[in-house]
Amino acid sequence: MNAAPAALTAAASPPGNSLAAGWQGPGARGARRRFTWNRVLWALVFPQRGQRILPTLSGTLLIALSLGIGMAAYNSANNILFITLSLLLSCLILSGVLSWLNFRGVAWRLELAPPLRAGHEAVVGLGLRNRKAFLPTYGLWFELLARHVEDGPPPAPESTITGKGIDLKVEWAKAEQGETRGRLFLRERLDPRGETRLDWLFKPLRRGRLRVELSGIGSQFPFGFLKKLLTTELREELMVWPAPVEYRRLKEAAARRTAGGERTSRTGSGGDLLALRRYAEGDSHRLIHWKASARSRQLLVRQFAAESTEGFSLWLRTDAAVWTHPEQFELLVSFCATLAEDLFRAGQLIAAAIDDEPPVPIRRVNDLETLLDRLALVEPRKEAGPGTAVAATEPTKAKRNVLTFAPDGARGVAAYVDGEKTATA
Amino acid sequence: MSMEKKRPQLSLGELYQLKWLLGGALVLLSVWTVFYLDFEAWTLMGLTTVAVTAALIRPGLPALVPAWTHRLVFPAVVVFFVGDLWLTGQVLPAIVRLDILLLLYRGISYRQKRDDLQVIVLGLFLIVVAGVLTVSLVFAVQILVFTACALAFLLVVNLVESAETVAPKPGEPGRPAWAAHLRWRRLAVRVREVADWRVVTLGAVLFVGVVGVSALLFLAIPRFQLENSLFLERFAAKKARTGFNDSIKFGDVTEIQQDNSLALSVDVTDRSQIPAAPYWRMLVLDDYANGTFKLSAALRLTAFPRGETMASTVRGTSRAHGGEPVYWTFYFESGISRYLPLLGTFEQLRFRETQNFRHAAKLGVIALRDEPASMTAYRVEGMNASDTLADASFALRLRENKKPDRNTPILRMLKLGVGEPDLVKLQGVVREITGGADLPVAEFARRTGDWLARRHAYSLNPQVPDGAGDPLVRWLVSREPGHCELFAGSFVLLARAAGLPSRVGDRLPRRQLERLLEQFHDSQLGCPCVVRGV
Repeated sequence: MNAAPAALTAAASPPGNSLAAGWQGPGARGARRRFTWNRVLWALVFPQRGQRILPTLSGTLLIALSLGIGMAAYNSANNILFITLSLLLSCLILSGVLSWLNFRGVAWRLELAPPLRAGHEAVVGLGLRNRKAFLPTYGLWFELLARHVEDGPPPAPESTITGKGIDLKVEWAKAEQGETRGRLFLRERLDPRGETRLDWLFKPLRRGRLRVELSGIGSQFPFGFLKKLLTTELREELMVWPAPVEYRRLKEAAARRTAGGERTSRTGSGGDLLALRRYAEGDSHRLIHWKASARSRQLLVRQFAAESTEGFSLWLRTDAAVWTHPEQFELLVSFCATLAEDLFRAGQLIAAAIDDEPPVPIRRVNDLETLLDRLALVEPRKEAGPGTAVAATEPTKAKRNVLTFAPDGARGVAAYVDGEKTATA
Repeated sequence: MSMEKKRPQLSLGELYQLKWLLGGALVLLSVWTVFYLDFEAWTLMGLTTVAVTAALIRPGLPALVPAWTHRLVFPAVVVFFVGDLWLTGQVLPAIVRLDILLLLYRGISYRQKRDDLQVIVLGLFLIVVAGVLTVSLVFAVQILVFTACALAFLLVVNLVESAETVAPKPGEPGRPAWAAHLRWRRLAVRVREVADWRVVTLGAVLFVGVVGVSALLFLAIPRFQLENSLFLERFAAKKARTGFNDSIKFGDVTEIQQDNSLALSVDVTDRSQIPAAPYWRMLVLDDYANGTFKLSAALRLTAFPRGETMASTVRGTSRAHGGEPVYWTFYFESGISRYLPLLGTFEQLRFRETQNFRHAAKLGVIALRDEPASMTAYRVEGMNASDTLADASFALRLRENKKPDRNTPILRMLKLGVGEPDLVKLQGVVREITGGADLPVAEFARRTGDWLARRHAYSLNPQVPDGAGDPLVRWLVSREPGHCELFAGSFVLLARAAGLPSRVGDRLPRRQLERLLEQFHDSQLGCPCVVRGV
């Protein structure tokens, strides 16, 4: 089975989320401060917080050259060498001024398009805007970082790590696990009063809460002597849903019909009137509600509620005692999410429950997204709940057409409907 | 991308073309410093100009050079440099030629970023060397043009780097795509389309700002003097120049370069005190041996104090006279000598700052510990500007020391320092000059000067004939042209052969330095005196 269809993905991303982050940077509206020469000069001498200026290889060479010429100038008291030294130092100052001008008026923001799926390529957009009147901006790069955020309160600070360098490296490597870093380059000129967007493609490694950060912006403009780095606090959190998995249906699970069926809030062809809507071309004339049309002086048609006569309820139990292998648990969650999406698309998903929680009806796309968000964060449950005693393979008495899961061998996962094995992953 | 006003943008290929153009311009600008550098690098400069210009016009040409030749370049350059150094023995000219050779190679080969930076460093070196050695106004113009060009070049290099998605591999064979379709006219049109006049104006204003800031920094940089100075001239001046040496070795110099640079400026409160032909005396060379005149160790020991004095004032041997005091303010340029030029004895000498020096009062010589790295200023009060150094006890000392000890400084001024055959030749010449008569000192000096002037022409390309014996005597008895050192040395040898104590004096003339004969006698005046210059 492939990833979720485009329609679902598009429907799952609310329009407001695509432009979630606001503009930040020197060109952001709120970032503008009153211009004073004092501030400019001071900023040139003493960089602001979060700004670092490092010499590049050519910059180091220039500084070494300046030092050499300076020493020779002092040693020989030669004015030609003092002139050369002054010119070299002026060039360094010019480099700083041009670099400052290059950053000035530039704003950036993260443009995220959820949902993301574990193991699938995701796009993080970086919007750029140059608010300068006539100066373009060149040669910026952006350091992006995607890091999984553990649910729950942040861990307490640990005591100081002592050890050799190699131990520290191991600790750092551990801390960087689950991090994905990327660098985006502004390869073309960003014209004055212009905007552009850079896309970062990356693969979230696992489900869960993901924080995407713009960790830094750098530039070697104009001469490559100095590397100017700005740190930002631009970050966005979004959910990474479980990865879709391939599964095999063992038999066509036909949901047992119950007499009369249950009314759902979805539109369908049931007997209950759900709502009225405007007449659209192609609608049956028999559906026109004449009284309401007369009152409102426009044609209105009746919408009936669908009846969930063939639906399934999904019950995910996450007992750690049952799901002892982490890989198997991950497969369970992915399998559950995939089945939920498939059943919803087929209009057969009625409700879902996780462990002892009461079942939540799944009527709209938002309900399914909420379920997938829950599945993104679900972890094996340490304490056994009251429902744990019920084996997945046993048919549930209370409700019918309940889809449950149980380990299938050491690695696999099987889905059961009323105790009957229907699919494996 | 949405923009208020869409302007075209240079493609990566066009940026490469611009980089090639600016790099070539930098190479040419740098190597043209040879025009006013006095080094033998005209051939290399011409070759570089032709080759780099050709590569600029036809950027595809470097691709025709087989790839294997690039591997041979580094060893070939090393061999060239070592050979150059070995053959000429001149460090700085060899480095300059090496620099030009490297620029030539970088100018005609496709460059990576590292090579571009090399071009700038190599070019800057050439321009700074030219500036230091020539102290020419052209330097100011050239370094400004070079700076503007280098900054534009670095900007383009940086833009290329940020626009590159994949960096080209170093040493990649073949002609790059940008070189295949280069049309300079089209590139010029594209650059004009891309350029915004407001940005160009701002760039020009910023460059003017750079020049202004440089001027301010130049004025604001604190100056203080360091000891043990370094001069590029020391590496460059293997070719002898007219100027001061504290020893004279005959036979070494084959060509002398006329140096007309300013050596000394003097400001006098009473101009009437300036002699018609001032004798800016600095050092005396009394010992002659193995074809070399130098200050003898004995005279150094007896005339100079043992330790150095660290002070800003020197007390002289003259005493104050009546009338308005006359102040002589000297501005002695660097790179000339550590011996200070003086007219004679003085009452007091003041330096601008504290100096380490030795004062040989009897010789009228002041020697600084090191050759000054910058111009040295000093003021002398009560200076005896006549051409006579009074030494009342000279005759007495000469007579007392005439016995066995020939190492005393006085008797060293009679020592010939040549072999027996050369002595015979010298005595023959003296007989020819004097006609066997015992002439007064002044008359002897006049006749010897005439004899030397008749026999030798003055030339900065002296010819010392090959052969056995003392080189100075070989020149003296020949008819070859010579320079001041040969004339003065011959004069001293002839005087000594005639029994007159004499030594070579170093002095500054009106325009340059030359040697002078200092001849001593006790027959008539009872005191030594400077007789005449040569």
